[in-house]
Amino acid sequence: MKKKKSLGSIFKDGLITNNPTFVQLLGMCPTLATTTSVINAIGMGAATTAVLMFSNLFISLLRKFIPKQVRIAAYIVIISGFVTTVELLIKAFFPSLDASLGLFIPLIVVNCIILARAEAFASKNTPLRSVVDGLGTGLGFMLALVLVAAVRELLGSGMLFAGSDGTGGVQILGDWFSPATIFLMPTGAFLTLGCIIAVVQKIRSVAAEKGRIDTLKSDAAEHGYYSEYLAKLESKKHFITRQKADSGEKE
Amino acid sequence: MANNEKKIMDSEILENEEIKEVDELEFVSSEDDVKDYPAPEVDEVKMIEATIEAESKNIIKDEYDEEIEEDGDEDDAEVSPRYLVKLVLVLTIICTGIALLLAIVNSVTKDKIAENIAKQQEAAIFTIFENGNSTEEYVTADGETVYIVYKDGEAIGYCVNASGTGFGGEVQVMVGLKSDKSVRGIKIVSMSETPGIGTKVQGESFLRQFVGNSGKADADIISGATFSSKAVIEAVDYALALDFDLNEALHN
Repeated sequence: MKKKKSLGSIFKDGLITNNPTFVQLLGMCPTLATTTSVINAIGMGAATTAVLMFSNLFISLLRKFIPKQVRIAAYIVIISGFVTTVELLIKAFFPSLDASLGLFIPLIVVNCIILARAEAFASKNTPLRSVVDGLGTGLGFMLALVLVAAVRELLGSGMLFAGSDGTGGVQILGDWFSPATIFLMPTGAFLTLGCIIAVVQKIRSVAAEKGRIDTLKSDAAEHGYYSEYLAKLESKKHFITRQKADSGEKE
Repeated sequence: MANNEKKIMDSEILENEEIKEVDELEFVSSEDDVKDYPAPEVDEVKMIEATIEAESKNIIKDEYDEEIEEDGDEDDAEVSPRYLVKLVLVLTIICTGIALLLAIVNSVTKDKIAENIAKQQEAAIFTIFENGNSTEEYVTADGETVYIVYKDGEAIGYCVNASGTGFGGEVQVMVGLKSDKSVRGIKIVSMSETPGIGTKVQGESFLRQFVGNSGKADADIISGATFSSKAVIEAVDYALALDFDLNEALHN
């Protein structure tokens, strides 16, 4: 008896269990580059989520129509179409965000997350579930960005929620705190991201030891091939059986 | 006795190791490798079998798994001209559809974007000339557009929208000049430079260098942002070299 994964669990997968930034380690470039302030992070996350949802929807609608051999080319065309749409809309209605994010909006096209979800999920699932996956993964990306940006902005300037043009913001840490500008630079980005990923991996390994999550299972789920996970269990079983037989012979 | 104890200890270690290194299991082929591991208990196998059975019930229904058989047909059809036509047709249709979408979005946002740029330009002009009230567009003999700035009807200077080639594209700079053709101030209108690095040229300390420049731009390049700095300098040079005399234009 096979049962389908519920929409809620698809959403939760994208958001936390298979977080694209901290677990799948995709889309590192925009994560490092656009997290200089929380507002920028939210803007970037929102733009990526919008593109993810629409590209997942359309790729899922066309999944039976696109032949296997040209699927990558087709996906790229669809994704870049939506990215350009988002870019034009931002230029028209959020000019200050455009000024601060600039180059990185068009670069969403090559954000690995979008192509990965298209290939692993949207091309093999119904439109509704693809959209939910796009939403979950996009929000997971935004969550990751906001987390990194909060640390960087707080430690780098003592403020939070400075506007995308660099002004405004709420002073969180008082005058006693002398801001470490290194956090606003690429060095700080790497340091922050590395530390956060280390914490996340520790949490995951503790949870795996306690049996709460099965890292093999989530790895298999990431790539959409649950059957691979079962195959691995089978091979493990065969190995142990063979071991027993061998050591039995020797004795 | 000692051997048995060692065997039990090793098997406990083995259990933990197994769970973490399943990937390597598939590559154990020589007997030498197997020899070192003592035999695990019988329950291990039953446990795994039970897990497999439980997991099979929970397997995610991937549509792809059901469609695997169809791959064989596609490979055979690969060389047929009809299939190649299908490939081309599908891509053409998708590209046309996306182009249509972009055309629609462009027409919807085109005016708003032009409006935003015009607003930015005006804001830039009035940042440079804080006392200005109004501007007037003037086209020089060479066909260049210049914005004459008025304060209460009196001309106090003019602005040129110049651009230089930066790292990520065009850097548009609004250069404000006084009637003696010296720079009163500049403001960056738009650019696509690397955020945090090239965008440093927007900073006050860099822009301040251009005030009072006459004839040729005279400013230090920001280290690490050579192209962006050079773009701004190029723009200011252009504005300074522009053949336009404010007093002459006013008399006409």
